[in-house]
Amino acid sequence: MHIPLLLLLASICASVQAHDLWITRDGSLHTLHYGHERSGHAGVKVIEYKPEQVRQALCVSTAGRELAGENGHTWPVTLKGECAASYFVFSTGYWSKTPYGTKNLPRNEAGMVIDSWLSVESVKRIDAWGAALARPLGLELEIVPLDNPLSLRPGDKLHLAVYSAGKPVAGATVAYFGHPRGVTAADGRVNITLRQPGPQLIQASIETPLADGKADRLVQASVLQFELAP
Amino acid sequence: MKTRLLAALALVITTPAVAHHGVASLGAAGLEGPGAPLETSSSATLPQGKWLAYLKLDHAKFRTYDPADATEADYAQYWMLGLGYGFTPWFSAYVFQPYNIKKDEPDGFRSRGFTDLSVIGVAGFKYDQGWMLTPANESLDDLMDWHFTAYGGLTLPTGDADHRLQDGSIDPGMSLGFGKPGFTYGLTATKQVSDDTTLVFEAGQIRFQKYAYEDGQTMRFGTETRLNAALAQRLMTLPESRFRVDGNAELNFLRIGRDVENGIKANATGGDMLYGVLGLRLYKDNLSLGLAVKRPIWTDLNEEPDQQGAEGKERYRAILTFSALF
Repeated sequence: MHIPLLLLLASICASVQAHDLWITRDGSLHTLHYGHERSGHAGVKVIEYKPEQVRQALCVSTAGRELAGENGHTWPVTLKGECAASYFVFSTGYWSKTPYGTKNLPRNEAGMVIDSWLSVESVKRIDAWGAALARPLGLELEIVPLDNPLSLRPGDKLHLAVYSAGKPVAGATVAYFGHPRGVTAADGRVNITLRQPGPQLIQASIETPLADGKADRLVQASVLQFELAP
Repeated sequence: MKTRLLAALALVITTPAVAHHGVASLGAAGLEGPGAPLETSSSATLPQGKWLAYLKLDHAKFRTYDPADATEADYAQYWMLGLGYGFTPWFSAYVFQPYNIKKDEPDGFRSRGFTDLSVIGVAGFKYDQGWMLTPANESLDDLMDWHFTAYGGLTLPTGDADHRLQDGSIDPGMSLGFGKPGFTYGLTATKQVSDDTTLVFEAGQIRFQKYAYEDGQTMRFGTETRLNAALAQRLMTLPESRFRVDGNAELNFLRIGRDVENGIKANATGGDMLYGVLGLRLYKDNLSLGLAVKRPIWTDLNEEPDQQGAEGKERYRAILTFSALF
């Protein structure tokens, strides 16, 4: 474990994982939530978001094929379908920190800017397993289990990889219920021990410089969600 | 006088074998990850491309029994400077330069100087659903797997084995080298059993060769066998300061074989002993400071009443280590 990587664990991750995305399922209805309920961070449990902040909603079969899903377009955003994996991409857009507070604006519209970033988050929920789900869906930052996570038990280690646009991401900080546990290697891989039964919440985050003139950096965060058998 | 030899020389070669303490926790910036004892070698290897600078002081104060006997050992100080490098994630190598000070009671003999340079190689491996070499990237959960190292090394006869005392005599116990390479090898096992608690085990041996001194005497020091067990317990972490304090408790068993002097097994040498070690290890950024007190808590020396100044007859040993990873 290299010093810079653990320094990331100690400092950066906590900030970029300040909010949680999670999906609840009721039959074939998958609902996207945003707030602080799952990782235990302080703050409002559930935050109402704008439906247009959901950039993408995807329903995937165990074979990795996209299934036609019926999307709801009001808060909270829903996705209806027999999904082995459901996947949402969510962005609150550009943020600029100014002497007068943090504004939800790109830096070129925010006046005197101290720091600025573009926030893009995603969440994947796995309810059934197929080998195809061990490959990236090829979208935004994404956590991909390399083995069937649903067959694991508390105490088992989950082997996973973090991808962005289908390519492995090195240096992403990976946390378990908000607690940083590791940093991805060059092949995007890292191993996380599942410590408790029931719903699982694994988070990955990374920051990269941005040169679009609207923000200094891109802050990407992704959540993998599934449930262990009791 | 020769009984002091073991205490004096054993540390010269032993310390390199155990001198890579603290690497894992240094690598983890001291905040998370397994702890590392002070005397027992942990199963850490250096990160690839990283250097470790190391300094150790072991001050051994011996029990004395006859104030009038100026030949009784008073104290010895073993200084050690080391430099390590991680060639691969699973293989590290170290070079150590000891500097020893050995002093008899007032008016007695005294020797000091650099002794034999030593080199040690450490290969790391672990078990995680199968055996594997220590990988480059491990999560905190990976670090909680069983980790192991196999180490081996030797001393190079760079010190003055024929160092003469003030009266012109040569006493191997006060010598500044072995004369010939000595060999060390061993195995370690480490298991971080919880976020705060780490267990470490080590088995190692040191073998010496016979050396003929300038004055005609020959000596082959007895083989040393070590079995160590240690517990490192995290006591405090200040993440914002990148500061961590661990407590350490160790049991060090040592068996020393009889010396062979001029072809004859020497009297008043060798035996079994068990040391207890209590210490603290402090981490700050990529630095680590260790402080410990080591005392014999059980001994079965071969001729105990005659082995003043030998290992097992210390009043205490005060240990200080400092290391930096860069």
